[in-house]
Amino acid sequence: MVKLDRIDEEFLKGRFGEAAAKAMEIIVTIAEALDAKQLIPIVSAHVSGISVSNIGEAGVLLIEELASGGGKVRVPAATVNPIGFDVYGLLPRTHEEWELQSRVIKALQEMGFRNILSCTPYDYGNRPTLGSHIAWAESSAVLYANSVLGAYTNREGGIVALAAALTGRIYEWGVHIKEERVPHVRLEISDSIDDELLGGLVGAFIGIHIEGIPLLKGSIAPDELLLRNLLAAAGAWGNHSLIYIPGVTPEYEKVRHSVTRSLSISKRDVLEVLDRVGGLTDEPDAIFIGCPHVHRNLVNRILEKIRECGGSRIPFYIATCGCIERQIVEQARKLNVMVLAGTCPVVSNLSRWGVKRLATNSMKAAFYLPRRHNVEVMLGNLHELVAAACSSKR
Amino acid sequence: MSSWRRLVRLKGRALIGGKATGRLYVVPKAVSFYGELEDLNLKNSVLVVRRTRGSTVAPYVIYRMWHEGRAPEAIIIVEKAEPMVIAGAILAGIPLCDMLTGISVTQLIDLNDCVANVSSLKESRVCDITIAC
Repeated sequence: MVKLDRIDEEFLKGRFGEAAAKAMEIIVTIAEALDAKQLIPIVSAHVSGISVSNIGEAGVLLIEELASGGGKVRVPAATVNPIGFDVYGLLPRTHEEWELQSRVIKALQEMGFRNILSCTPYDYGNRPTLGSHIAWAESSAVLYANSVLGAYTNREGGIVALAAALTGRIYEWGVHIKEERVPHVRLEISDSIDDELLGGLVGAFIGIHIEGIPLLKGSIAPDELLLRNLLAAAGAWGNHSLIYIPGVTPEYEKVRHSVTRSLSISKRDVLEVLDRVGGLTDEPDAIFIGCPHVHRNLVNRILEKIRECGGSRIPFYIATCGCIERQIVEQARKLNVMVLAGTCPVVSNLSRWGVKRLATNSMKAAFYLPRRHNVEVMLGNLHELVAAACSSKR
Repeated sequence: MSSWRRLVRLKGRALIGGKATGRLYVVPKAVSFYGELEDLNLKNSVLVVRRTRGSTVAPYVIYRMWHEGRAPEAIIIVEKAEPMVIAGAILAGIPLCDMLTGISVTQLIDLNDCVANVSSLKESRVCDITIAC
């Protein structure tokens, strides 16, 4: 039985309104199914599943129901993931689609969410501190929160993170419990992992082959882009929520001796993952980076490089936060670079962009794009992608 | 009229209660609802998945399938169910079981398309699955 506090009971009885009661019911029912002992307070929520291309009208109605039922955010920080279209209207969309998407944004705003429209909430003020309990959806952000920030969150479903935001509570289960955060397997990597594409391949390897919580050992470059690609790939190709990375994960030293199982891999092992993606040799018809979203600083650095070579010869898409300034987006367009504010190809209607072969540095994108959009993906690191964008004009 | 060649009884852990009947649709590997199962029509099917992976959009995918009349009649996770699958089953009111005992994944593939009766009892936490081929 789940032990409920007085406040939990009051939520269920409807003291805080219909929506809050429904949200609490969702959380308590999951808690019961998981045999959780109790609910605990959270200080942050991040919600996925708000793109209409993912959730359809069904999802829109569900979110609107929570808003009209008086749902209000009850945590200090509550943010939301990318939507199905960029906010400046570069991507094709019908009037009806945008209307439907706008209803979601409006409902979330009414409830008190901060509509950053990004999968990297930790870049935009929702950056929980070491040891804090939070409820995040968005698999890549969950891995970042646990493995980099040292905050505690399970891989919550989008609607569960929403329910947690409206109640300020989540079930005490999984990696919220200290003993459940102990690593199970040491993964020694004999070669140095030094660019973001290799990092992504390590992440995909973990997702496919490693069960339980891994503790990495070896030379992994302390590069933010590499780290984000590694974590995002593991969350897409597998179901991990925590990976211990040397020099990165705050609790690494404390737990590193408790691992009993060990596995050694080399660069060659992770490169085998590439066989599952394929299409590496052909000419791409567009380039994409920003899965997870890239920070404004990196957007500017890439634009700088492309400006130097006189513009990209094929369409170059960069996905970033919905908060990026219109001015940057407009300047980029002149260079054949589409800065996608608040969306990304994964959650969009990519099939309508007329792209068949997309080059990217993201192993997370390499998981979803062929599956959701029937797009052929080829891989390169950022340096190679920029060179490809510039090549014919040199 | 029909004579069953084979009758298989399996047990699991009941997560979301309910009774359902449908043809087994077996996915013998780790799979993401988002991107890998979302376009299927699983009406009149009992979905059996080894384990889930990938996106946290899963609950919406399940809910959307239900809303559009394409959701499975029951979901069975062979290993352990992730919370987000439980959330999807709650929203869509679909019986959900996990931790299946007494059968291997390879044996399950042989049962694809057989008719399954699922009885998921929340009180006792027992999920009984009877499969007739």
